[in-house]
Amino acid sequence: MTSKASKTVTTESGPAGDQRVSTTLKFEDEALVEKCRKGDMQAFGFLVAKYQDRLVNMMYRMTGRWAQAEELAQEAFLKALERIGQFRNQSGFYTWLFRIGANLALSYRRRCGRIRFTPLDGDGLDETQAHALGNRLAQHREPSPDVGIESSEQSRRVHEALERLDDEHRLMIILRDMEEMDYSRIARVLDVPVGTVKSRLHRARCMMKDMLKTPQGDHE
Amino acid sequence: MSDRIDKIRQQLSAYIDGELNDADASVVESLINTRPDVARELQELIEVRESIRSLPRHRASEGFVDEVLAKAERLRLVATSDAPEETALPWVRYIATAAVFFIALSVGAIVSVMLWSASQYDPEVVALSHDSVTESPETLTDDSDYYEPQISAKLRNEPGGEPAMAMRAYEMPTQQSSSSLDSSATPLAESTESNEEISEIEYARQKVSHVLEEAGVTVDEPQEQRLAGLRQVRINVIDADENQRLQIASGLARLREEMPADIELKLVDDALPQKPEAVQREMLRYVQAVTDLAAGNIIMPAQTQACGQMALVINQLLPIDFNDATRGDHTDTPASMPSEP
Repeated sequence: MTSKASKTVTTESGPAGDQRVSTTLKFEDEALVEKCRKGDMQAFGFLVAKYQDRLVNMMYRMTGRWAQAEELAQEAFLKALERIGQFRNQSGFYTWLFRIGANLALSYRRRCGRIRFTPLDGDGLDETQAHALGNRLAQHREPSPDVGIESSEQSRRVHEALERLDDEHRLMIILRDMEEMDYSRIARVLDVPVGTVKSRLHRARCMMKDMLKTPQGDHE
Repeated sequence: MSDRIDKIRQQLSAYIDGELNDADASVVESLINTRPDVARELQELIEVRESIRSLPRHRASEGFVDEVLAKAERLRLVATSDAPEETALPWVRYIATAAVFFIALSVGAIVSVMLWSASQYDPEVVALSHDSVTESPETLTDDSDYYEPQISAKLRNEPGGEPAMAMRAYEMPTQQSSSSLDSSATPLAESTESNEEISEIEYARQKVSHVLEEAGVTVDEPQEQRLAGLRQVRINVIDADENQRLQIASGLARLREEMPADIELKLVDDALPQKPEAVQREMLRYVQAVTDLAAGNIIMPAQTQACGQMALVINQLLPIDFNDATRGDHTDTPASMPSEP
């Protein structure tokens, strides 16, 4: 069943990645969800294929780690499938899926808040050693297919500024400016009033504006 | 006037997103037309939005769909509405459920009666259970975090204690002590809260001990302390080679998901800073493995420990009672202690 479903998706998507979403758009979410409820894994495969890039992108922007982004996105899809029976289709599968994803991303970030790593320039390592080791770790730990994607100076600065926002403001920016959701959909995803979305998004953009204004190197 | 302008300024983002109604939008536009600074701010916000929009979109890897479907199959998440055995014989399921429920009730009743009898007729057990329930947290000694298994072992005349059994043995005398045995006993609500704290950290300790046993390392007696908002059990590993350290780290990584929300597992390992002469490649392998496998655990040098020592720390975050000045030494909190998220 798995191979059949995934094969169908792959065949339809073709070698050009851009075709992947457009060819599956002909399937309405509602019909696919209904089939999922009946155990149709092929329908679930279509839903995954349809939203995988958007969800992975959101997760990557929230976590900053490629491997973690894919793992969390997979977890979101599996949770959606697990709870598909509870889905009432009041706000659309896409909104519901992103709500699950946003909660997972926020939980992950909260857990990360407790992580502390040994400073590599601590006792026993001189600065050069620590720097070299840090660089090598950074190279080895994120084997992203999009390595270098943030290569332009401007993109790198925007990415860094985004990473320095706190979780709630960052999520707001991602949902609005990357996912291009309207305010009411963001409100449903985050389960907050539209007014909160409005004020929080404005604050997030103002923070981004200030950070991008600051000359490089003056962040800390 | 200034407040009004500030309020209108806060609408700028909604304005550029087209989320304002006509009336509000015209108010914003009039301000933009009369105030160059507001117009400049609007332009900057537009630039911010465009710069974010221009960030590259990351795509899922090619095998993503396959991986999700494979995981879904493994987890058996597929709906089983068309499974023949479910629809053909629904009453079998109900009978089986009822039977399991009945057996569970019977076992619970038998165990309850046994424990009640033991606490009624064995004064030593009553005293022991009462002492452990009413003992205040700050008087706990290094050995006191093991009193749950000891109680159950006492009741069953066994050297060790199975966790579920220990919980029952702990709970039953608690209720009696608060109601009939001693009028000065800890109130029931407070005792129940205490039970939850102990059971969670005890659960974590047993899991961690299992990981250490699997790694085949020798450990010191666990040490417990209470700090402000924190209950901590520390298990020092006496000696561990690199493979054992890796095994412990990966074991902790697996445990992380099983832990209750208020339990933190930390891996304290000062081997890395203490080995400046180590070959960098080995260090890289070690640090990478630990950080990758044990994501979610904390790695930090234990400055007060002996060279190369490793320790596992289990923290339980507790609500801070600011009215209780005697609860723990607040000044003793290590600088590296995680704060409440």
